[in-house]
Amino acid sequence: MQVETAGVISLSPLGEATGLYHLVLTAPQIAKESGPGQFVMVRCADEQSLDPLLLRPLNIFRYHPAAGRIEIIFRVVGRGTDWLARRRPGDSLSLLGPLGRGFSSLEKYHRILLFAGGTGMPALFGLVEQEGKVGSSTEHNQEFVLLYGARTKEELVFLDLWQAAGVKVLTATDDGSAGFHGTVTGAAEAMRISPGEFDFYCACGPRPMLQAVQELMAKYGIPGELCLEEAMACGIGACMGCVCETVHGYRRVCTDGPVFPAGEVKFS
Amino acid sequence: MTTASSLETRVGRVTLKNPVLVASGTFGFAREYERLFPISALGGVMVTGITLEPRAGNPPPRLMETPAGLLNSIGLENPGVHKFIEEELPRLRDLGTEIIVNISGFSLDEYGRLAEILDKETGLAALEVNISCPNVKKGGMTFGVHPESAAAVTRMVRQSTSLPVWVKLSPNVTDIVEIAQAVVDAGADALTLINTLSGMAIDPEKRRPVLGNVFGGLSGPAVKPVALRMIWQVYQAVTVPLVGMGGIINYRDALEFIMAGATAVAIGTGLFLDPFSPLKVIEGLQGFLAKNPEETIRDLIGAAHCSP
Repeated sequence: MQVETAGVISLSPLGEATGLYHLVLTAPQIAKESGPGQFVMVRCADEQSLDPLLLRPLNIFRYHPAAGRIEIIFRVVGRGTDWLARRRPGDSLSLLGPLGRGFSSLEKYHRILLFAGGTGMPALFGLVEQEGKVGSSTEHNQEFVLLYGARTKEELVFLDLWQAAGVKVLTATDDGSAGFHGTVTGAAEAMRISPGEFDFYCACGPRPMLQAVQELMAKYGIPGELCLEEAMACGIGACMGCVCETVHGYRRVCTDGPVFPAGEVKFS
Repeated sequence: MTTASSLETRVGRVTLKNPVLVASGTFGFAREYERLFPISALGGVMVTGITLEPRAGNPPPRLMETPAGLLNSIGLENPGVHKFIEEELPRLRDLGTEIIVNISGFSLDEYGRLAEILDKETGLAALEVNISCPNVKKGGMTFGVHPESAAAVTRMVRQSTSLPVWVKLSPNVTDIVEIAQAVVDAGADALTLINTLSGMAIDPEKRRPVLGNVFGGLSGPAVKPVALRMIWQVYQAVTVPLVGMGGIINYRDALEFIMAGATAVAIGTGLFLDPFSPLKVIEGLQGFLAKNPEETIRDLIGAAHCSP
């Protein structure tokens, strides 16, 4: 973990009117230390500006230790991300990271189900692309199935990259414009998963989705991990501001998470 | 030439190598920030508020960003004094800076017991008595808003420890000077001010308060003018040293607090904009003093009160 001044290599909007952006940065230290499910805090204001005040936690989509680069996908949801969307190549950004307890090693699992919802998708990509190598899935004799949900077709991004990593991709949209018409858990039920078909799952997305995934997978008896997204102040575990309720009491999303074992987080 | 000693300052019996502390509740027990910079660079650390028993804190959401400010309702989540002594204090003692322990009670007796328990420990510079947490329903702020109860808490802590007693004042009062005078008369060695300003936010879509606790405490640059005014007023009314805090993010903010009458300052929310902000403030103060080699930081305390 460190503060690193990152350089913007590229920033491109994804799809039409989705509010999604793809940001590529030089950040050699963070690229070197990152693992799947970890995040960075990004200062999203001009140097002297006090608004917005806080850094924004953003999932790391891809990290390339050799090239010293990281990639981020974000959605414009407020003043901070709006500022970020207006950066240009050559601009500098102040980053704090990599942060958080990411996903556990999947080495001992063979058939892994991934659930992605909206901007939760990027947090999962590191699971299939480690050490800069796409397709670690074949190396460990693993099979990945991604259930990727979004509001509409335009918001399903980088499907080709997932497919190139050897992942079977199934999509779901709220409006039925692509894939299953409904939620990722609806799509999972429609798959008619048989006992033993999957031995682990990883999920990242909005809280209602994670809650539904956790309930469904518990029903199937499949263990897994959930990656939460939460507003944060310090991002490093000091302020106790980003806690979620778990079976062990309140836990910090920034340092005890953002990845929690399935069954620990209480959503209601 | 500016030497390190030009930044040295004394809060009563406590000598600080420089006037820059970090505020309670924003720095945990220094474990996290220790990974980013040497804590020994700081004038001191005011550790997260400790209570007699462990506290789970308030239900989330606990944070809401506001224009140039931050609302929080953490609710004093902490492991309790015994676990603090066992698991945190040994490491804190070795950090090479002054350790000030913030304590909160829910009765007079609890404040007394906390002071008594911590009095037996070595390596503490002072106790900061929180009579002003806006985020717990019972105790906390209710002590801090009346001169009589504020004085009673101070007296209780004073009687229970030989450590310097710093009392943290609430801005959520009609007349902060009245409270300040009452706690100084009751034996406070120093005052720290201000705690957060009570506030709230509502989510128009959900038609509900944003914070799980409904109310929270506002901090950050948005509160700085209020904090500064209160330092100014209290400085004119009491003779004990003041530790100023409330929206300090750069060395110029720190200078304002010092010139209003603060002997030392603390940075809290500023850490969240930039974890290195305390170090940058120290550097900035050094640079400012370098312009006038005759002057030390002590010469600037209350400087704005003197007419030219």
